Amino acid sequence: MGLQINNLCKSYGDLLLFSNFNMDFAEGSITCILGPSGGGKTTLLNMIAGVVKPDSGSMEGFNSKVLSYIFQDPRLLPWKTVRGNIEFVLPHSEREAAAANNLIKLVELDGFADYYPSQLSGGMRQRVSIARAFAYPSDLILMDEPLKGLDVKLKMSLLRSFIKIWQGDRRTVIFVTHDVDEALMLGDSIIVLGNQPVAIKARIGIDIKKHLRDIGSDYFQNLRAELHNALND
Amino acid sequence: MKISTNRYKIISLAAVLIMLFLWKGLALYFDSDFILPHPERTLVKTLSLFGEGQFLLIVGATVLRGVLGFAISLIFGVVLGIFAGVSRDFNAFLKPILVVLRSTPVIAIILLALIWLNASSVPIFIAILTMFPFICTNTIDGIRSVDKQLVEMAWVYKVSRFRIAKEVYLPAIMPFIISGASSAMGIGWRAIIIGEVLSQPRYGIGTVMQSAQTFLNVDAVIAWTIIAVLLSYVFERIIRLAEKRIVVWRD
Repeated sequence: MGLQINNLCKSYGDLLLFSNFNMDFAEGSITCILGPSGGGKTTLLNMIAGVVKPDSGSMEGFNSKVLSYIFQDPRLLPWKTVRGNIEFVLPHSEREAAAANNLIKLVELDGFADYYPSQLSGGMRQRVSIARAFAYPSDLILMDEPLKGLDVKLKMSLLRSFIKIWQGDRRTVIFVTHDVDEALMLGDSIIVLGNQPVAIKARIGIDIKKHLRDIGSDYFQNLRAELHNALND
Repeated sequence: MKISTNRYKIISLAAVLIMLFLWKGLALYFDSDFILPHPERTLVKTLSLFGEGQFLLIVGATVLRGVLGFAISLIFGVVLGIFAGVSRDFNAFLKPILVVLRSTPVIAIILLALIWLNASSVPIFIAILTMFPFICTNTIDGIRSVDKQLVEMAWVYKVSRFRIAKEVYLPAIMPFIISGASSAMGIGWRAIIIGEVLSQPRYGIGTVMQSAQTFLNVDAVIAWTIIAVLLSYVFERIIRLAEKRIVVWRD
């Protein structure tokens, strides 16, 4: 059984964002959602998270899911250390303290567990946010352009960390981005959304293991062209 | 960095020295202890106050009033400030009260308090009415400044309301409360001493300043003033120290 969005409608004033929108997500895989900025992608994630209420429509399978959210900004508590920030979201912290330590290692922040966010770089803070999402016992991870504004080198190293962690812990991931390369590196399926109202313009599947992907190869060049076409259509 | 800190210290020290020279110059000009005693004589007088039998009783009474008034203002200011920060309705209710309290001349409150209360409680009452609005207003601002995105994050991760209050809201408003407490203290000591001068409780810095003034002991008036300034400074340091221990995350 997958996760389904049926006949979703949402408007803000005169702006009709979603009108009878349908979409489904495969569980245990990463779905990347590509689309123009300000096109309702964040609203879609927020409706899935329950932060924003849809006007009408149904979401099947989401109710029973526990979810983590990796935001565009790391959203760390400035008065808590790296470890404190991760433990903050954990329901029974003693049992999960070990998990927190392990994740701090996985995101390559060992030695920084007792640092405050103000003492870390932007990339390191986003690593903490990723560790927090995985430390939390969720079934579903929502990601809203978490790499926006970081330089390419940092982006790549964060993506590799993410892939490494995910391969050891395959949760359902919905990853919203406007960067085609990020989608090509991460997605099991990639969905291109168009605007006003939001509609699916293209949907592709990639069946290559993430750590083996060479996004410079011809195969990926073709996919990239296809996605760009759909985006600019 | 080190050089410039020293540089500023030297400049500040120069300012103090200029004030002392000016004082000395004026004292030489007037040449009368009944108008302006010499600074060195006043300093000796100040030091001699520490040896006086009732010194601790006098200073202790003023400190006790200050601490009591401050504690009551802090509790009411923070609690009411949190309610006003959370509820727009309560804020609308509280706002005119705070405006009236802040804009009423201290002396008017003292004159009324002298009619209503006994001599020892007047200064405490004054202290509360002057300190409370500062702490309350700052707490309201603090609550308003809490990052809604952090609250949303905590909410998405299903963190309990109690922990959101304790671990998101409280630390966020702490710097605001401390800065409110610091301005409140600065104003509070002055208000307490004015209150003591006028209400004449048995012990108090204001009480002894008033009697010194009556007998034209100008050196004693200034000496007690110096004690009052020191007192205010010591409590300011205590608040700053508390801030350093509480707000450790700010780099």
